[in-house]
Amino acid sequence: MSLLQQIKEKDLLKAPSNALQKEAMSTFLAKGIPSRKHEEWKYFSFKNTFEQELVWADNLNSQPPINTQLHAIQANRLVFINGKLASQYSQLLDQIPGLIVSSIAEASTNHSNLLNAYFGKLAATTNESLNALNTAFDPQGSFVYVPQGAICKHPFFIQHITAATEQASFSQIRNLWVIEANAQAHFIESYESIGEKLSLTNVVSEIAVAENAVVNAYKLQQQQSAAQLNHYTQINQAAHSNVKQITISISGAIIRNNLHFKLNGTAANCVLHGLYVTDKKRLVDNHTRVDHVSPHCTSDEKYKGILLDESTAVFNGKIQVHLDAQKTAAYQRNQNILLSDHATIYTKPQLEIFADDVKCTHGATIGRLDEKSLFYLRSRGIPENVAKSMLLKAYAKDITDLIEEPELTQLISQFIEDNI
Amino acid sequence: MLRIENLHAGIENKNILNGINLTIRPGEVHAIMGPNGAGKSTLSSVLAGKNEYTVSQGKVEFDGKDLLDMSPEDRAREGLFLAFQYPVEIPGVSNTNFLKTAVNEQRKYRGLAPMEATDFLKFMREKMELVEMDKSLTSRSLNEGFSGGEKKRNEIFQMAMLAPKLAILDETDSGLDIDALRLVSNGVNKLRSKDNAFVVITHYQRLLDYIVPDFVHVLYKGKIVKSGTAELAKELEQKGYDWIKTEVDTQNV
Ligand SMILES: Nc1ncnc2c1ncn2[C@@H]1O[C@H](COP(=O)(O)OP(=O)(O)OP(=O)(O)O)[C@@H](O)[C@H]1O
Ligand SMILES: [Mg+2]
Repeated sequence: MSLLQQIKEKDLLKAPSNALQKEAMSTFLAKGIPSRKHEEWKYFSFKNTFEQELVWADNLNSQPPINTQLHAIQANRLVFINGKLASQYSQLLDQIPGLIVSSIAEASTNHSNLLNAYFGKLAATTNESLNALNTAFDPQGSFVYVPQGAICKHPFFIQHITAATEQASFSQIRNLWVIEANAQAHFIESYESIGEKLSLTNVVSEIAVAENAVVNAYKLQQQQSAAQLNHYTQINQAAHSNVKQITISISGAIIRNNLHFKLNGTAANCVLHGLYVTDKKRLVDNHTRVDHVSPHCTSDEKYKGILLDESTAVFNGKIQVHLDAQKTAAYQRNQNILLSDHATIYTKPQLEIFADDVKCTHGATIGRLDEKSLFYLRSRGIPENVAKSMLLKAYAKDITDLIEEPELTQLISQFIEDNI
Repeated sequence: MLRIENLHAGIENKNILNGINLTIRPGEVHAIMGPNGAGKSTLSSVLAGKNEYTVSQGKVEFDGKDLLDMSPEDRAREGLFLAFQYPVEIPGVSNTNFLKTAVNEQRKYRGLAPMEATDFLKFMREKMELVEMDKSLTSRSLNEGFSGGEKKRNEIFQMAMLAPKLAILDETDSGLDIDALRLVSNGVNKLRSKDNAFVVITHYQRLLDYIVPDFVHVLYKGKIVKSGTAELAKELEQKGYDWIKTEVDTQNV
């Protein structure tokens, strides 16, 4: 049975759902999977994937061995396999009164009021049918609540693993993180998969950042070659808050990111940087949107791509400066290096400015590795492939330098070294 | 060590080198002079393996091997070194990391184990003193923001680190101040031995007072049109190139 068919049946079979789920389901059924006719889905569609016979991951009972390389990072750790919390890999290091680190399922029992105050309130569902689909079923994933003024010493490392070892699989993940006023927290997210079978992982993250809070979030997407990932992230920022989100997409068949920032309070600042490396026939699509709702906010966006073989990348960056958002400063750059004549990049900045006293710049570049630099390195006895990876690491450096986790930076350099 | 025979090379449909013949034996220093645009840098680039240029005729033997058949990295690992007239800036690649990679890749080619980190640093300090290179330069990105003279010094520093059999210095003296010129020349002289050789491309006799060449060649319109001893350089300094140009151009009519 096709995945789409299963979704419909599963909806009928499950326990009477709450109002949020009901509404989400009807939105999903009304809108369907976005096709390539949809303005925001011009370059590919998940439609075909939904026609495949994928098994719902919660029917799979596998506990495969997982990659623990990043467990070397001293962190508050939550590991999810097919959406289920794997407590044997999880740990809590920071003992802070009021800090909650748990699965969403657990939070819905123990902290339902807190959860319901935010859940589904940030990420839009009306025009986002895949978000609606995610919202229509019981959520699985992480819940982190950082109370007011808490300075978390260790990062929160959240590892999501989709297992598709024996059967093609589908899973849905939800993350809800609330960082209260004056608190500081760092997050590392890793999206991985095991197995060579087709998989689709549909993720919705909601991140609420209160006044004056500081959040650094590093997202690493490194799935197997038949894995597809759809990740929608909504980050809402209150006044004087600072968020840095780095998105690193290095492997997987298809990665689609929607990263949306809403700068709701004055003088909020966000940094959204990304690095994508695509090879073979893979595709990475980054759709970003920054809503400057309040005055005196800044957004600093930079995405860099390295494209090989017959791969495709999409960058679509929308910056919307609302009427009241005077003194906005918004920067956006997208840079690409094409290492093959058969790789394709679609890049499109979209600036919609309704305030008059703003500073916005944007730019996109597409180029190749600098021949002169390559020759210089080779003329010193450095083999071509090593020279290339040195230059690519140098190119990626302004993104990777922002990651204040050496293990993670090391992993990314290693990836570039091994794959190029 | 190096034998160039009837070398013709150029880009697309433009010939730049029109039949170069040159033999270099171990222990020798050859100076190449000649007016702007004569093809001196093109000759160095072709020898180093820049793929922008196509060789249409001729052959080059390096220690008995076909040089033109090798990749640029293999030429370097066989012991060829080019100090560029215009070294490139490579942001994001640290000078030290670059050198360590180059040294260890060359060692690997020769079947040697990579150098230990501490040994490498010691080795590097030694060679830095040789060209009196400022320590701060090594921690910076490769040539990025280096002054003209600093870039040239960095080339000689790299040469000292890599200890090539044959080094081609393409106008390394241009842009150096008087003290640096002496320093760089001393560096070269200290590296001179009966086993290695140098090709020094220059416009100025002054350099040849420090690095005394065994042979001086004049390159003009892609050909070596005159060869002699160090005396030839002195003559050129006095008389310029016009007499040679006239000589050659009338012959060709
Ligand atoms: N990549 C290129 N494209 C076009 N022309 C080139 C290229 N490389 C060299 N040339 C031309 O070939 C000729 C020789 O250049 P080359 O740089 O070898 O001269 P040179 O003898 O080193 O001169 P200089 O003393 O000024 O350094 C020049 O006319 C130059 O413009
Ligand atoms: Mg030149």
